[in-house]
Amino acid sequence: MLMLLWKCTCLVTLATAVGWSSAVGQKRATVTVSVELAVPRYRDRFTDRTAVQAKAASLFADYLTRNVGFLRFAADDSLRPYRLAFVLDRFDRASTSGFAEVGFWVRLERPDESPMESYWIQFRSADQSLVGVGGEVEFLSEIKAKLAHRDADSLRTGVLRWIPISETGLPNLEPLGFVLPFRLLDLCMKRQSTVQLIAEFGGTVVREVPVAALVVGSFSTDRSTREVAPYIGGGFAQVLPKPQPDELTPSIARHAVKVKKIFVTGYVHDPTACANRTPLAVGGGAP
Amino acid sequence: MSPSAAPAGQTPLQIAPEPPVEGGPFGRIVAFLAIVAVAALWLQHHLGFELEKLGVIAIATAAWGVMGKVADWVGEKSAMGRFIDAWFKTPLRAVLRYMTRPAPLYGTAVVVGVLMATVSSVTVRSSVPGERAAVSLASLDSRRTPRADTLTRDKATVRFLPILTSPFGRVYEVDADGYVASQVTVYPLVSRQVVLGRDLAASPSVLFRPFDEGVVALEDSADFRVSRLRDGHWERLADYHAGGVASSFLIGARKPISDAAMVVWVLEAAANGAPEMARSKLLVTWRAPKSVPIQVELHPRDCLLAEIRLHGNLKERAVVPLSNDPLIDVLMQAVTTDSNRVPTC
Repeated sequence: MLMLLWKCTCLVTLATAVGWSSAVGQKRATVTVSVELAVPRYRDRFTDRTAVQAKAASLFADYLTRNVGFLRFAADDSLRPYRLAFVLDRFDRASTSGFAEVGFWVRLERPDESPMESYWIQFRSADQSLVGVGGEVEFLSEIKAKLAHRDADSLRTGVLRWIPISETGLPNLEPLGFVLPFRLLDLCMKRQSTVQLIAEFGGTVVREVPVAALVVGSFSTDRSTREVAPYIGGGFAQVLPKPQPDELTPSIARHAVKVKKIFVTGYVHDPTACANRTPLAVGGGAP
Repeated sequence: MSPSAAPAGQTPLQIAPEPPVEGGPFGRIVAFLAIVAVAALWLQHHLGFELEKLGVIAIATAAWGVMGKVADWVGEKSAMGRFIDAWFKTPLRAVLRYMTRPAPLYGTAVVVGVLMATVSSVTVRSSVPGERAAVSLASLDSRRTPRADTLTRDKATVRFLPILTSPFGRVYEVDADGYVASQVTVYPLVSRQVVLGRDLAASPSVLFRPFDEGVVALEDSADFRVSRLRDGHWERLADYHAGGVASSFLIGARKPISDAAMVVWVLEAAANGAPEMARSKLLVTWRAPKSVPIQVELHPRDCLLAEIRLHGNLKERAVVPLSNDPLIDVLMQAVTTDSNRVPTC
């Protein structure tokens, strides 16, 4: 009886492990979202600035979760490799004028790389520079209103393209391409999106080669092996056109290609798929 | 022998000097009337007897006298005439007769002289018609409570009488709302005239204008504070909570803001990079100053420190030494250096 119970437990564990690692169960990389108030008049306005920044970060995380499906965003203080900081600062940082335009800069902090930063959204124009900051509620409402009328294209094609959505992928020979460890629905991604993979070519000399691919559909196969099973249902990105000279095909045939990182470089958003997402529901966990 | 020679054995007659001739009754009357006239003029000067009132009384008296004469001519001695004869003319004649005696005459002259040499008056009026101001007068060598009165629209002159002085003058301090207290020497005989705005300099008013950071902080319910440097320490004069409304702040009496000043304001804002909309807002904010009441009077050469603080954080500051200008216009600036280090004048 004990032996039977033991076997059942092992089976359940195995099934869970397989399910977890399948395309359906894969979790996207999580990015920590934070907000910093760099302009003194905003910084000094709130006595509990940390709390206000945290609430503002939640708004940004919520916004990103609804508009960027290929990553997960969490507004917390967890130490994750990737951190997206929205910094409320002057547009012209060299200026000391009190009449400067103020907006959110977005800064991506990533491991082993220098941070990258760009100006993303205007918060107050120079003409509005003498308007009071307002209370916490007004300030957060103003951020919410700004986000409601701002698309995330510049973020998707800007800083977010430098965050890998996964460090695994399945090379496929025919058609030539790679299977993503996620369903397209989970990525809120439509076909015609483009991805870039950093593929490691084995052999006498190991090389990392970037490969661009076009998402063309979902992956399915009749030959379900142990290696392939986790990727069934995942998005398939076809290498189009084939690189010349084609080193990829023989390397995949030799099973000498390993996916190191996958980046989304061109994102065709499926808004209906992400409409009901909230950051808390998908947040947490290491990438 | 001359007729004037004295007989032998007899001492010659000595010629005695003639005794001094005392002034007759007429001379004493004149002297007394002169004393009365001088005393009346002196009183009139200090009391401020106005010509119009004097004229009315003179006309009334003349009319009364004419009516009495008319009654005499028609042979009717009126009852009033008899009353005046009995109660006024007869006693007055008696008093005059008494006062023209030497002793009362000299006594009166001495009393009038002493009074004129030791009593005077101070008259205060404003150079601004209809100004309302509380005025006080205090002797510097006395600890008595200062005498006080108020200038109003209906009372254009305040007269302090009697004011004790000496033939060489006595120093008093005159103070008035909105003016810098001043010391004046009060001499006998003539009243001391003090004109506010001429003899007492108007107390300087200071207009503090917040700039960009200050305006925003005030809209976010910042506090405005003013201090004065006294004996090396900052003495807090006012602590004003703006209540979420930005404005400029006026310390002291309200003074007109000239159009020329506003032109300078526009240039100032433009020179500091304010866009057009912000410039307009600044002008509207500055044009309607809030009067910040203080309990003390400002003086030229006072050093004032104004600060705008939001949750204790210093947002803007201005330090200004007061001059003799009636309105001192100060633009506050954001603090870029160490906010704990307070500059002095």
